[in-house]
Amino acid sequence: MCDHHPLRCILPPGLLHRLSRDASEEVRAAALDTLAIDARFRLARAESAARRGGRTVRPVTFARVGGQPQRVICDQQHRRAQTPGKVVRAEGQPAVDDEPINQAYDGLGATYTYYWTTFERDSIDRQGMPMMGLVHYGRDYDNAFWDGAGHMFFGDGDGKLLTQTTAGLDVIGHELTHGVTQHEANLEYSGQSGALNESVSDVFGIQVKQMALGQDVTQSDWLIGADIVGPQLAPALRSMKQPGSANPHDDQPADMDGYVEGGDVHTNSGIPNRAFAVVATTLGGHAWDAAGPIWYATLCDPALSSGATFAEFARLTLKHAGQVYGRTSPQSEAVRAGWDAVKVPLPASADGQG
Amino acid sequence: MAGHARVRLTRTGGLAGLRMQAELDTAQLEPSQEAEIMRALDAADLDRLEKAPRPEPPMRDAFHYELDVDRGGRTHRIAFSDADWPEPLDPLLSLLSDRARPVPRN
Repeated sequence: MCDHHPLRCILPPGLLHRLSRDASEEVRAAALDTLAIDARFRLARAESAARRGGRTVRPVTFARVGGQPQRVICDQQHRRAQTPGKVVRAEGQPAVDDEPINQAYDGLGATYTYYWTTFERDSIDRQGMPMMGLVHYGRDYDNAFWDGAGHMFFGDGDGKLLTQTTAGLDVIGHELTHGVTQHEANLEYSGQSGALNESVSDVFGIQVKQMALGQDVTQSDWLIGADIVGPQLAPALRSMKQPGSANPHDDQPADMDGYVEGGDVHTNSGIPNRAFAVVATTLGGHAWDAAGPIWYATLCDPALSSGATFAEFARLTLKHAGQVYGRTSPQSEAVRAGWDAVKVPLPASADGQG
Repeated sequence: MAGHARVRLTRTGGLAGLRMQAELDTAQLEPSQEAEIMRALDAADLDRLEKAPRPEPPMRDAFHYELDVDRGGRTHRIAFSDADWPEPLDPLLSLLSDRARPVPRN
């Protein structure tokens, strides 16, 4: 192999990226080719891991420093195929003449930055998994989703319900977080654990947007999807501060009194969403100063089962607040205030164990 | 097999979590459009689709669909998601999707 393609040897991706930018046309083409093969191997491994779900133990096949996203943006060309379309922008490549492609690239970058700078989490699986954004999915498709196999699909919207879904930094953060959750607690997608799964995506999605815009908790609108709604769903899909008020069809309950038995996972998610917004706004500053890390520690805690209830999740947030900041700290008090506001019961003892 | 059909599409899930619904009697369509829809229904093999085992990949925020078809006294209910969208029914599903409106979801 190396006789004909000298770059297909063991070269660090960083060097390949530099070559792909700086070297002669021939070397550049070979470097890009090698990077593409590298990405395919990594994708295959990541897909295999994603199918297993949860916190599986994986052999470490290479040492990775982290801190560098591996983005791959594909054009689905309005087809409904579930396989990635043509790669139109890979990591390090310049912007293309297609705004949604660039939005997906930048949004995934902002999401990577949030997880790396806040938690030193290296992508979806902690191991540098490529972030695959599949753009222009379907025709007038009013949605974005995570396929459970390493791909985020983005529709262009019909202009009435939704507009271009890649325009929402919170939306991109939301979808990628479904991948993070799959690799951590793997919360089952129905009942309270399903609503928690949805809420966790909103909680980290809004922080991705807040960090990218430099917003503190008072500057954020705490709205999900404000940048992708069409006239029928304006001004937003959901309000984390005031669930049920985001648009004319928003029926999210704001506390357990309104809990909908058997409700859609996007309905009851308003309850834990509001708990987080109360915690973060009670503490002030940036949501990722303390509230975000408490939620993240809970999501990654092996004690959080895939079928967790709101009360179990709440108890673990209190446990982590107590362990990191102290049982009588403002952070622990804020966590109590958050779950009290939405009427989710907490144990009496401050360590969350009682 | 010609004739008319009454169809209803219900779509749930998605990032927005809306429940959308649309109903249609093909007799109300232009003859050429109705013919296209009936051809799509013929090509789709509703008996097979109704009984087909459904993949349930761990998708998050995907749409889930239920299509009810009443044709000549025979009824079918076909459930599918974005992962197993039945391509032959595309003309019908596109038409219904355009007409769908939000309904209470719970």
